[in-house]
Amino acid sequence: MSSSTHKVNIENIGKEQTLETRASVLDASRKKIISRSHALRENLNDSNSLRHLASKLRLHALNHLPHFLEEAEKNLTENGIQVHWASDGEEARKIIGELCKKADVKIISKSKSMVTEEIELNPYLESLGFEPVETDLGEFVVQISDDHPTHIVTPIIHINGKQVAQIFEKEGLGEYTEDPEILTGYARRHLRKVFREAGVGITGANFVVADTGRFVTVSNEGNLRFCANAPKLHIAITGIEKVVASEDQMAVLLNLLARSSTGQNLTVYTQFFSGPKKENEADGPEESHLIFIDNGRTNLLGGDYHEMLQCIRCGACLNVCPVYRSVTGRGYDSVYPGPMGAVFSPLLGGEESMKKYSELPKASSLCGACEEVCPVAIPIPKMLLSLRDDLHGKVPPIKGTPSFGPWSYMTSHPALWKASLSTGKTIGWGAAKILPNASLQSWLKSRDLPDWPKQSFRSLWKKRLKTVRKNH
Amino acid sequence: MDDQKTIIFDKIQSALKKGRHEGFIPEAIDPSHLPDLSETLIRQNKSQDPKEIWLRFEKQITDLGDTVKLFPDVSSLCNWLKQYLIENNLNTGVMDSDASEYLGLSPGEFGLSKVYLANIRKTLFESVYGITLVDFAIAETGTLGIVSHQSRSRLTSLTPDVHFAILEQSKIVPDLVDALKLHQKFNKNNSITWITGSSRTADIDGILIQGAHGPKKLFVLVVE
Amino acid sequence: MNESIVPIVDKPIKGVSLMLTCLCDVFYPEVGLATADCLESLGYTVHFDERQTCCGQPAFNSGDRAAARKVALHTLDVFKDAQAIVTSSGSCAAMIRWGYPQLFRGQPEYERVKQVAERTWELSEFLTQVVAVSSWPGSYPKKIALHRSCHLRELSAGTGPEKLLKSVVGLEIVPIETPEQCCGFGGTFSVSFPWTSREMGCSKLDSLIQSEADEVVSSDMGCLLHLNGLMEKEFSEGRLQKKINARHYVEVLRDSMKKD
Repeated sequence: MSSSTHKVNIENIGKEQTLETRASVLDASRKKIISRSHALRENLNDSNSLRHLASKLRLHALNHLPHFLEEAEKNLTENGIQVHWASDGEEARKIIGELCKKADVKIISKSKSMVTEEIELNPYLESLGFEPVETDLGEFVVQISDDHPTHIVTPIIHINGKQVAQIFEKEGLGEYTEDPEILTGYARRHLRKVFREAGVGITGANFVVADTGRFVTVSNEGNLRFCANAPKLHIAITGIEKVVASEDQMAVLLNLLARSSTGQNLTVYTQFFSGPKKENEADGPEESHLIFIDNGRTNLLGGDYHEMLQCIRCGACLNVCPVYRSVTGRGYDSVYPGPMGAVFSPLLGGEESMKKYSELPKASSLCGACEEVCPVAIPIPKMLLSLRDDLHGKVPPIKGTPSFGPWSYMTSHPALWKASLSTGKTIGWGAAKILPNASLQSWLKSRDLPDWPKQSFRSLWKKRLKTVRKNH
Repeated sequence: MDDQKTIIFDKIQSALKKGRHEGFIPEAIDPSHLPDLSETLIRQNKSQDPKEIWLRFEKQITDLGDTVKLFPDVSSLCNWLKQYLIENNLNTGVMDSDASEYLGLSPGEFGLSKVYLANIRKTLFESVYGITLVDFAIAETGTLGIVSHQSRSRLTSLTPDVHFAILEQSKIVPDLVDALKLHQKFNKNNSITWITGSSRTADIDGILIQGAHGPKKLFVLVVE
Repeated sequence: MNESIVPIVDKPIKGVSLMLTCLCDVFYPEVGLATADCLESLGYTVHFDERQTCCGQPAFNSGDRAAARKVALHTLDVFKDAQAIVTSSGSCAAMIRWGYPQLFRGQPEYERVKQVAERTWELSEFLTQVVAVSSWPGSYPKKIALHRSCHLRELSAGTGPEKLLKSVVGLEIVPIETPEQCCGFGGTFSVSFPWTSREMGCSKLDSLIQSEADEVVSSDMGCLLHLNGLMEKEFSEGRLQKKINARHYVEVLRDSMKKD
C-alpha cells in the first residue's frame, strides 16, 4: 500500500486490476465462505448465540481495558515475559530495533503479523542492517516479489499458482513447476535455513490472556512456532485491544475463529505462550518480549466505533463482501482492506487517514453481509454510516453523489413534493437526461431509467376511492 | 517505557470517559464480574459418552488427512512403530526423553533407524521423524495438547517430516471447555501447544497442501 | 441485526396505513396498488395519507443526517396516528426501525421514533407474522427466481417473501447462484461508485438469468430500478442475450388471487 497521503480512489484502483487477479480473489473468497458455512453448520447447532456471547466477552474486555491490561502485564511479567508499551508505530519500531541490536544478530525470522505491516517494520529493520525474512508462505511470496498482502489472513489471495511458480523461478528457488506441493517444498527447504540461523523471531499475538499471563497464537504452517521457539530472542507485538479477560473464554473465541476464517475447526497450531525457557523446560528462547501497541486504537475506543475493536481478525467480512470481491484488497490501498478495513483505515491514522481513506466507508451498498458473518457480531454497516456522518462537510462528496439539502426541504413539505412529481412527469426524461446533473449522468452511463408512469399512484388512488364510494 | 504506558493509559481513560450514547458508565460495573459462560451454550450439545468421544476423535484426525491407531498396550505400539519405520525407510529420528522412558526405547538403534534424544539442535533439524508424548487430546476437533516440560524440546513435534504422537486413550476430553479446564491443572508458567493435524497451507490457489514448515504427516498412536 | 426496533401488536388491527415509498410514488404505482389489493383482500381498510413523501434514507446513507432528520420528522408526523404502517419496501421499513434509532438516539424525538417504528411492518412480515397467512390463495403456475433484498437482514422478515410465494399453488421458486449477494444498488452507492455497482449488478443478473426462471421477483423496488435499468441497457447494447421480466413479489401475490 502507498504511504502517500493522496486520497485513495477505490474504483480507479479496482478497475486497474486484471481479470486474472479479480478471478483469483473471487474464487478464493467464495470457497472460504462456503467452507465457513459448512464448518459452522456441521459443528455448532447455534452459532448465532455463540457469536453474541463472543461479542459480549469482547465488549466487556474493551469496556474495562485499563483493568485487564494491568492484570495482563502483571501475569505476563510473572511468566518471565518482558512487557513493553508503544503509543505508535515509531515507538514500536524503536523498541524492536533496540532489542535486535542488543541481540547482535543478522537474520530475523518473521511470521505473519498485520501489526508489523501497520508499523512498516521490515523497511526499518533493513535500514538498521538486519535481514528480516517473512516465513509465512504467502508473506514470503509477497516479500520476494516486492508486493503487498491483500487479505488479512491469506496474503496472496490475489495471486494464482502460475504466478507463484513464475516468482519462485525468478528468485532461483527451484526449477519451474506449477505443482503447489513442490512449490511449497521449495519454500520449506529455503526457509529451514532461516529457522535454524535466525537469532531473533518476531511474531504477532492473536490474543493476550489476562488471568494466566499467556498470549495465544493461531497458525497453520508451523513457521510461527519456529519464529517463537527456535531463536534466542522472541518478540511478539499486538494491539492493546487483543486482551482477553480469562483463559476459559478462549473456548468461545476459538470455537468461532478458525471456522469463520477458513472453515477449519481449529488452525493446526494453537499456542498458549508462557514466555522464555523456564527452569523446568528443556529449550525455548532465552528472552521473550511482548509489545502492546496503540497506534490509533484509542481513536476508536469509547465512541461510535468502540465495537470495531472487538474484531478478532478472521477475515470473513472480506471474504463475503461484494465490493472487496470486485475491487480486490488492492482497491483499498491499506493494510486493512474490506469492511473491517473501511472502518479501521480512516480511523487509525487520525485526521490524515480520515482524508486519505474518506472513500472507503462510502464504497458500500450497506448490504449487511459483513455483520452477518462476523463471529463477534460487530455492526459494521452502522459504523460505515457513522463514518459517513463524520465525514460529511469535512471532505468533498464523491462525484456523482447527490446533495440533499434542498431535497430535504422539498421532501418535508408535501405541497412541494407533489409539485415536483407533476413537474417531473410533465418534463419527462427527454430534457432531464441532458441535464448536467452528475448523479443522473452517473446512473445513465450504465443503466436506463423507467418511463414516467402514465398515471401516478395518487391519481389512480383518487379514482379507486371514488369507485369504492360509488359502490357503497 | 513507563512514559509510553502513561500516554496510552491516559488516552484509554479519556476515550472511555467520552461516553456512549446509551449512557454506559464503565465504572459502574465491576470489571472482574465477567459475563456468564454458559457451558451448554459453548458445548453446543456435544456428546459426553466415551464411545462417542473416541469415534469423534478418530473421525476428526482422519478427516484432517492424518492417521490414528489404537493399541492394546505400549509394546504393540512399539512393534508397529518399528515395522513402520523399516517399511518406510525413515532412518533418523528424535524423541523426547519422557517419550523414550514411556516407550522403553533407548537412543541408538531402533530397528534399522537411529533415534536420538531431542536435546541437540542439530539432530532436531536433521531428523526425519519425531516421537513425543501428548498430555491430553480434544475429541471435538481432533486436537493434541502438549505442555512444555524439561523432558521435552519445543521442536520435536515441529521440525521432523513425520510426527508420532503418543497418547493414552483416557486423556481424551470431549471439547474445548474441558481442555481449558485442564489448563488450570498445569503450571501457567509453562507453554501449552495444541496440535490439530499436520502442518498445512492453502496459500497457493486455495489448494490444501499437507506439510508446510512443520510435519507433513501426523500419526496419533493411542494406548488403550 | 442488533438495535432494530421490533414491531409489536398490542391491539387488534383493522386499518392499515400504506407507506408507499418515494420510488413507487414516482415510478411504480402498480406496486402501491397491488399492496392495497392484497391487504384489502384480507379484510383490512387501507389508508393512504397523501402528506407522505420519503423516509429520508437517501440523505441518511449519504451522511447528511441533518437533511435526513428533517425528512424523518415529517414522516414521523404523517404516520403518528396510524394503527399499523405497512410498506412493501424492505429498505424503508429498515430505515424506520433501524435507521431512525441511529438518527435520534439520545434525543427527545426518540419517543416518537419508538411509537411509529413499533407499528411499522414490511409487507411480508405483516402477512406472515401479524395476519399469519400460511397459504396464499389462488395460483401462479410459473418458475420464479427470488432476489432477496439485503435490507431484510435488518428486519425479522428474513424469509417472509419466500414463505408466501412458496405457499402459492403452482409457483416454484428456482435456486440461483449466490442468492445472498447484494445486487449493487445500495441507494447513492449506485451513482457514487457506478463501476462497482455495475459489476455487482451484472453478476446478479447473470445468476438470475441463468436460473430456469420465467420471472424474477424482488422485495425492493430500488433493487429492481437498478437491475431492470442495467438489463435494458446491457440488452440494447448487445452484451446481454436475454431479458427476463422482473417485478415486486406483491404483484405476483395479487395476480395469483386474480386467478380464482
